[in-house]
Amino acid sequence: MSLNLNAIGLSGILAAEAEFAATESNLTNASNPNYSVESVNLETLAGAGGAGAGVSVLGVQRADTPFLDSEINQANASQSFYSAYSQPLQAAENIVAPSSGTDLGQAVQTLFDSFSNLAASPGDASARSSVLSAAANFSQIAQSTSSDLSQAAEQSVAGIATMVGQVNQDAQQVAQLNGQIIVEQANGGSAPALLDQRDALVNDLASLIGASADSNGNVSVNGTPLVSGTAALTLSASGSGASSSLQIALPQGTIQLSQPGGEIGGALSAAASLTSLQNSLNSFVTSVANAVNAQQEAGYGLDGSTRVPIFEVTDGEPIALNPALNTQNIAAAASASGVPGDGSNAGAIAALASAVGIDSSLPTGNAQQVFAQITSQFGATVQTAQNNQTQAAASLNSLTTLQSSTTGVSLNAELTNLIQYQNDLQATTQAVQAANNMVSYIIQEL
Amino acid sequence: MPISDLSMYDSLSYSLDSVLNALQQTETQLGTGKRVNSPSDDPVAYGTSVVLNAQLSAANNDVNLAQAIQGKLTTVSGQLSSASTAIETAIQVATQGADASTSATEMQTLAQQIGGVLDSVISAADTKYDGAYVFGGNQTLTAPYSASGAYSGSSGSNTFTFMDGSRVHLTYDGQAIFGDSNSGLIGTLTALQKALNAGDQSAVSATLSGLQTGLQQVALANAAMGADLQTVSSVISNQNTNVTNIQATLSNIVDLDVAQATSQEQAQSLQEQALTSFAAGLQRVPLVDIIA
Repeated sequence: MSLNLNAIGLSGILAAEAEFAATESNLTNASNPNYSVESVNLETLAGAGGAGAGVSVLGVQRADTPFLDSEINQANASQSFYSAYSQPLQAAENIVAPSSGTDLGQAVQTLFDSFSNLAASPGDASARSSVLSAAANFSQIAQSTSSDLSQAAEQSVAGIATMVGQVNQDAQQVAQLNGQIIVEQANGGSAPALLDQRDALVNDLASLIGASADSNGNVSVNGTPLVSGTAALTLSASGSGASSSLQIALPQGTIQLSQPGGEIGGALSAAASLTSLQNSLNSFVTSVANAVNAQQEAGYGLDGSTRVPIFEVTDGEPIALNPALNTQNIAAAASASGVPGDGSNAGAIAALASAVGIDSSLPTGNAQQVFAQITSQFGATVQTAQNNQTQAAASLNSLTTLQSSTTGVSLNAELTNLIQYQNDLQATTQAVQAANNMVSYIIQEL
Repeated sequence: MPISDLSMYDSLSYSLDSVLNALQQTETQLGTGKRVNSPSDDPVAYGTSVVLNAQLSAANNDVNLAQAIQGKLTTVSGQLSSASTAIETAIQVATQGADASTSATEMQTLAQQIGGVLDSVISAADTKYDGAYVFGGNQTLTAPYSASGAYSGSSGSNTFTFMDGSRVHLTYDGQAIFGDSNSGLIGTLTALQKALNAGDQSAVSATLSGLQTGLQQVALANAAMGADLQTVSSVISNQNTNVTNIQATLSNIVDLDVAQATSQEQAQSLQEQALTSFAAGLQRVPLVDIIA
């Protein structure tokens, strides 16, 4: 009987030890965002006649929220996507609409205003110099805007190679963990720490590329597998800027990864949006330059020259000021006989400011309305991205808080448990001591 | 529902970030005095402001140009008035020279007077403003009249059209107003001077009608210039009104309601202080002390 009493007591001490260990692990991981709170699974030991005969430690289990895991991964992917998407766009706003200095719209207006002034003083050297200066300024701003947007698109995807490397590293680790978890679970363990590690990696993959995983650790991106059981496929990136693309290597070749999410997807989308903006602005600038050139070529300069364009316009390249242009060959006059006093051709160029249909993107609008439409549409894109990022962050925060109520460590709860387990241990030890005393007393009496 | 300590810190950090972002935006707006500082602040308002700013620039430019043209026309009109006075003098001189009682010596003196009038008229016809000759037609870089009254300008005239379509003359065909050494006013004055020098009273008398015609021509030119001045004044007035209206519209669209923003900034600051104070409270974990 005394052996039974000791065994019962010992089982209690072992259970308390296991609970202490779990609580200690919980307390030390209280600040670990990838940790799921652990608890000890206990079972009553049945003795003779089915009476209780101690407690058995079945194992350690972690708090799990499979549905929330998936939701959090999606929210995380969304938040990372919009963060990576909106930041380069926000920075590009200062290129299109600088808080100080001159934007393209102002440069165009200054150009037209300078022609208006020239129309009033066609023979005036300073009015001609102002036209030259305004045309140079317009082409310079057009070039720098195009170049800055191109650079911004490149920069937004500059980190893709590093992120792809991280994706591959994470995928490899998930595949390895899948193998280890299978082994642990086959041996009756629950592998809580390994599951935590895998969840953290899947979360990282969601954040990087919008990946999702099933309960067995199979990871995919938009339905394209990345980790299948214990095998990880390799992701690679090719191209540059907005033409960057992603491929996954399969045993039978490669498959194009379309519309990735997460940080990588956001960076690629940002590059595409910036390139689209650059194309729209280049088209606008080219339209203005062509219209000005056409009217300029209809007039005559002070030196009698004609058909000297103001701008050099080459397909696919930013416009440039015609190096042959000077104050003498700016065609203010409408006829050779009108030189030098006639400014009607300069007036006709100035009137292009209100001419509709100067750019085919807005047949009913003038140059400023086209520029306003481009900046306004870009502003709406940035605003939507910012709003989506804010919503995704709020959603992620809300879901994480909800998950944390199940899987997070509450210091108060753990410290209360600690007191309880301490009391349990003391009581069990006292019970073993009492049983020993009782057995000793019986032996003495015998 | 159990609350994990980590989630409390995470939520606090999230809330602080949100409040600080809002606070930063409000402070930026207060700093610039504008509600719309970039396209994403209000895309529609920003687009409208682009168009309005361009209209404002063009309207201001028109006002500046109109004021410059107004100055020019006022000066030139003054020159024409002086020329009219000189022609009236010439008519008096011609009338005196045609009188039979005028002696040959007196006619020589009158001829010298007409020489002065001729110089004065040619000088008015060679009026230059801001580096451009006004009565040379399209030829604005060279003086249209020589000292002898020969005309080298063109028969055209330059005009300027304002944004609202109003058009005014910048230069005039001098020959149509003043004639040249052989015709018109200058031709008549030259003939008058010769007749006076020759003592030919009938020839002097014959110039009177030409002088009257010349006076009318100059008066007509001055009247046309007066009409242009009225047009320019009207452009200045209309465009100034336009500028005021555009500025008011722009202000409504992009300017900040400072009172509202200040109130919002105070509420956000208070919220930030409350969250910071709450964070300080999180440092206390009583149970840890109990266990210890």
